[in-house]
Amino acid sequence: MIEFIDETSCTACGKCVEICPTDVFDLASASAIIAHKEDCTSCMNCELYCPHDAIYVSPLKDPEVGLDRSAIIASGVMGSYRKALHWADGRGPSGTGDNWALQLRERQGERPPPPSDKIRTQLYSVRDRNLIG
Amino acid sequence: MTHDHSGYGGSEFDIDLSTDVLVIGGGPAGVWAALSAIDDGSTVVVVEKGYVGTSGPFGVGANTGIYYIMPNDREQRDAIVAARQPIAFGLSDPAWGYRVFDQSYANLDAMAKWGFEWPRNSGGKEDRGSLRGPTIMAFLRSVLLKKGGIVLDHSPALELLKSDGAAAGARGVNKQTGQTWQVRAGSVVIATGGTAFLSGIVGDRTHTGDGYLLAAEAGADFSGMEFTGQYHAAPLETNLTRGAYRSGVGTYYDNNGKPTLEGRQLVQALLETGGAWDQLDKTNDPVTQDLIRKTHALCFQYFERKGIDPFRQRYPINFVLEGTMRAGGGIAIDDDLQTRVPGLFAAGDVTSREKLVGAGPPGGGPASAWAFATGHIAGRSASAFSKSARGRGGVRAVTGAGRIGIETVAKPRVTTEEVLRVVKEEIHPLEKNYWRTGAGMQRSIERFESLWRDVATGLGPVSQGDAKSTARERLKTREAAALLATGRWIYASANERTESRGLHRRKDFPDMDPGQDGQHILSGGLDTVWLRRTPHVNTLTNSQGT
Repeated sequence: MIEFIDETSCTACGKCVEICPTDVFDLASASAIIAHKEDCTSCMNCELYCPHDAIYVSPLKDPEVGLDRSAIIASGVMGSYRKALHWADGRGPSGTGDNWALQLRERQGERPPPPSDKIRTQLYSVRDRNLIG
Repeated sequence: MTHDHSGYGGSEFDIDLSTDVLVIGGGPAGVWAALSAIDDGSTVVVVEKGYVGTSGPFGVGANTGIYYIMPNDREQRDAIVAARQPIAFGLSDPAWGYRVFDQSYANLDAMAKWGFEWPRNSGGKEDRGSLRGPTIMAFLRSVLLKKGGIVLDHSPALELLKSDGAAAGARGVNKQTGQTWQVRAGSVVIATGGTAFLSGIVGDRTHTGDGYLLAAEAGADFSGMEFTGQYHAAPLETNLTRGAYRSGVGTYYDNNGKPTLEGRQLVQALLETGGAWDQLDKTNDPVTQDLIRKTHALCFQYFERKGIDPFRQRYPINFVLEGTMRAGGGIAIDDDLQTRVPGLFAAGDVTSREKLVGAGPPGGGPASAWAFATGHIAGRSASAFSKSARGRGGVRAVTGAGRIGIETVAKPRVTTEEVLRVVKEEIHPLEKNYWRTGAGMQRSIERFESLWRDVATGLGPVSQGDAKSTARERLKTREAAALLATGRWIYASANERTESRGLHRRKDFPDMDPGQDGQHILSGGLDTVWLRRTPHVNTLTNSQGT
């Protein structure tokens, strides 16, 4: 659930107001504000779209008690989710942006599933034939 | 019963548009419907309750798989389609499998042509089977706008419009401005997603079954609403019912530390030992661990921000309802994705996905493919309807089809809060909806029926001071009515099916009943819920696999 907007970074550009699917935000004169915290479902898209890394969404579904805002800002976590998905200035990359899922697949290797698992066995038998090029 | 512009402050709408095709809902299914209708030469308006790009389960940044099959690889085609059949329990149509997975390949290929860069492996080969929702949706939104699609964000539909018995548009509000809107259209595609009955899972706040109620009021019916007992594990403090990050590396434990399998055993562990735990303890390789962390960045926000090392620590989990956001029941559709109502089409999670997955769980890969493919097909069908004599380009006289929770009522008999409380109490608990019983459902049904009588005549939006609050109140009222209506169709259908099959589990009928093989249960109705059994028929005549 969304916890705070860092007013010193927020420029009141309105991006979060525009993209929040549940209209959690409102725009005040100097910054965005959290107007309907209870409607947040922690989708984290506001962190993704915020060009100024000014928003902190807690991964917990309920409000956090005794949250230390300055410690969170000092920890460098602001913007970390945006960076992990390769977003910048409110925009996504022109593609997936990384091939980590494929690297993971190659690293783990693919052991055949137990024959009793018919679905995965059938899928395993054609697993790499989807790769294109 | 129909009515005209009442309840919208006179006969004027702040926004009044006319289009060939109206798409309600801007997740993947809705956007693909819009794109294919545009490519077929139609004008399109997309109305989205949230924001096209971030709404719903797909707009959340978890990695989601998508199934596709290579057009010329017969062995792969047959294997991927055949893999689903054992868990469809005789209620799917294999030809639909070829159709859906072929179409999702075509959609992914179109994205590549539009400039989307798919990841490549170390050998330079491209993989299109893994999607990061927000990035994909931002890309598709930009394509949609470039192609001339009109998008109204934050604009939930509150009722459909009809003309001569056919769907002819919709009316609604804008949550941010309080403006009212009307879009007259030659045909309509509903792509509003499934619902988890506000169990709290990520992305569920916008998904309140609105499309089911819109469709039912217009005369559509449902299929497979009993195949909805879908729950998934999530770390206890979170709403992340996602499993991909732990696939192949996680172990579930009961509250006594005994390893347990997922599914029924895990539910048993929760109910009988009072808790369950998870740990990603099947890999010690730091490189693998780092790649899991990076691949599944959304899920790892929880671990990283709360200082949990899931590879070395057990963390508590819960089992949370996902409902039709993952299960297959929904609006009954024909091979063109048309509902029972002429000109009303449906796509994605809001439809019955039995043609693809029968009674079983779709899982992420087939569900994404279904959204992409049925969106595309529904958009094309809706475009053709709009051009036909019945569609007449959206210039007909229209009437509102909305009945429940639309009008302000003088003496409210029930509040939205009360409706939501009762629905959640009857639909969320594992003891009621994961394990169903005839007696238990009978009690839920009686409670729902009594509440429905109050809702039908005594639930309406309460006047608010300003337009914006009024818009939110109107929406809240419809959401509550939609969830109650959906709960009624689910338990009526589940009570009718006196066996266990796929995502329908009954304690009093724990086994599959061969006597009910190959039978779908249709449902519908507002004043009175009706049910009808209908034999399964493979409707696509030519298997495209051979």
